Amino acid sequence: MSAPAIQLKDVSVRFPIRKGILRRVAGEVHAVDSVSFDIAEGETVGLVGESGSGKSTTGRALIGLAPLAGGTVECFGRDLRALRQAHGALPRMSQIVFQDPYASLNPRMTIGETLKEVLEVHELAKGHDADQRVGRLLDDVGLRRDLAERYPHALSGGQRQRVAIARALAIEPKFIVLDEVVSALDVSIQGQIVNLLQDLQQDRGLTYLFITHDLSIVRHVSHSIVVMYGGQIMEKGPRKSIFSAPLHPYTSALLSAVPVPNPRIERMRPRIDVRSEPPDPSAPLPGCRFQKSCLFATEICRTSRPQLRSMTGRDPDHLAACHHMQEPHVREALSRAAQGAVS
Amino acid sequence: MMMFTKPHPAQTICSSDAVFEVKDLGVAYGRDAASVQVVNDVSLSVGRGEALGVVGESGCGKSQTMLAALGLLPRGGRITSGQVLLEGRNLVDLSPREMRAVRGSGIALISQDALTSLNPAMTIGTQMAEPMIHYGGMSRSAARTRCIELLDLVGIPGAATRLASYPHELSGGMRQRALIAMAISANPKVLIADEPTTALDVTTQSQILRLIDSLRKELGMALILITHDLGVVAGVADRVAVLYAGRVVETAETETLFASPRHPYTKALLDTISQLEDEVSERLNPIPGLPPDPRNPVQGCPFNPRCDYVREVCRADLPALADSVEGGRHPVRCHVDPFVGLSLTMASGGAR
Repeated sequence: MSAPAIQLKDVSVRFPIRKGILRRVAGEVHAVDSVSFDIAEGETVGLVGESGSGKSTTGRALIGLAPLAGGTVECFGRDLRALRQAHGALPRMSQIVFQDPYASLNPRMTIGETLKEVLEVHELAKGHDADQRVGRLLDDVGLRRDLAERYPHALSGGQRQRVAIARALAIEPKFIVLDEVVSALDVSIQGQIVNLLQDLQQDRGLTYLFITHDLSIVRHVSHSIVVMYGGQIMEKGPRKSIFSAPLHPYTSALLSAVPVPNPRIERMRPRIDVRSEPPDPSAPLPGCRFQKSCLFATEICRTSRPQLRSMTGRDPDHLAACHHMQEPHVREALSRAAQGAVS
Repeated sequence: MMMFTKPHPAQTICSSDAVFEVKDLGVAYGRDAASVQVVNDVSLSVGRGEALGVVGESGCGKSQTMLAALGLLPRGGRITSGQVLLEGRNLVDLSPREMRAVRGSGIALISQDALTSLNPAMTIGTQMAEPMIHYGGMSRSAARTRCIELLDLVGIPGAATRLASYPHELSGGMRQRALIAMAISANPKVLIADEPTTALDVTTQSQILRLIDSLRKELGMALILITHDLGVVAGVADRVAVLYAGRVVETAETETLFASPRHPYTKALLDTISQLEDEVSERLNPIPGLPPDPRNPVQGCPFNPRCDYVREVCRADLPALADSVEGGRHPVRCHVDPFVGLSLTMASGGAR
């Protein structure tokens, strides 16, 4: 196998907490804490977690929108920090698409102007040539060319998201961070956008980081999955083995919380609950980040941080950070919940 | 202390024991030529202790129907036809003052976004107690006791200390719980939950849904759960009404609807979801096109431009909401039925 397209090694992101009239730094929010994973070229990694888990911050760190407090990010074999110091800006190889296309498009610019601006700022095309490129970009995302004359408010949510994708494609990136891109859309439109993204990936060999809290979408689009909680990775591995046999209680809780569209199964199936509120990122607890919410937590979970490891007799690429994942009573509860979740 | 009456077992679609009914409701915005009809002939009913799911995409009229029922239509919106009956009493003709008395004790609403529904400048306790003191005539200390009782009931830990918290100090799930506590504080007969979990994380979503469901059973309230997510409905609703372009297109018992949908739109929605469950199918088969714009209504059946089963008649005439030929209460608004009904049953019966 060739080297991965994107490689994160022990990436940490911290934000200062400022207090008082002098805005002194009173503490730090540990948004992302020693996160490592790879994305193979032309593949999709699904990054899953609840709000505050650090999934969006990880995505932003990957394209240089959040400062790295530690660790390295390699983008197609080149170190992000070194690139930045050498060029002042990142080369045009990565892009991001956000959840709310209404907020991320300028309401006072037409769709055509928005797309043209990107081409001109990056000196990719000018004048008539740029207009041609805008037309082709709209074709690429399945929008009629005459929409270039319209303003964002005249478009539906799905159309706006297509524009946001077209804007990301304008610089011909090799890697795109997709941050909750379908979460705000209706179910019937979600499918259209997912198909578009998969077509683009196949045609152009794009590499995706697909950030979402929606496990059903992630299951459909990802080659592998990374599950985050409280800024750390709880579990990662190939999609199939994560969904069929999750190792971590948190992953299991996430899976069992997804409603199954079958009334009989939905009302009967066993669940793994999350007990409490998410952890406070400004005062990280020693030990496992999930300890307060975990049904299986014991003394060791409060004192020592579990390392990511594989389970004996299972896929060696499937890793989880849990002290108790090998224990029979945990395995049994998790597999019962997993069977309920697979309809 | 409130009375905890055991609900009747859900008595199907019979409207005679309905506690809350919407009959042939129409809602429009604007006047005369510029008038836009957003809700058309919508009829829904829900019995005591029963849960009705109202499902549809954004813009299908589900929220407009409920706002109209609550007398909360925004400026420019008006009821053009129909009735809203709470225990047989028509709410459409009530004065704003009378309507205020109905909201809270008759019908209560839980909306999607708890942060904008709560007053950011008031503590949870103050805003919960305010209506109890002003409308319920309770003393401050009685209201405080009742607030603690309610927060306990909705599963907020340390209820007594939480009364002094401001909304921003609570997490999204806790805010939604506080909102639920406020909604049930005057023992409403009908609880309308409009996308109550859409803004929440999946683990919190499942907890909030189960909370709403258990409160409905415990307090014997009728529940109307409005959502775009059929998965959410599957676990909670006894019956489901599917809305499309401002009209009810299908109503059925939840199990029947999922096992044998009759309307092509319902079938397409269910297919979209089950494809996501299915790992084998790599490419999704989404519903093509967009829902119609109410400013340019579609001639004939509003779903015809997106429908796989479309026939000539669908482009000409709007189908009526009619019962199935096989018997049983499962009304559907489709010309192509029963052909579609039969083929849908066969197609989905084996798969599910």
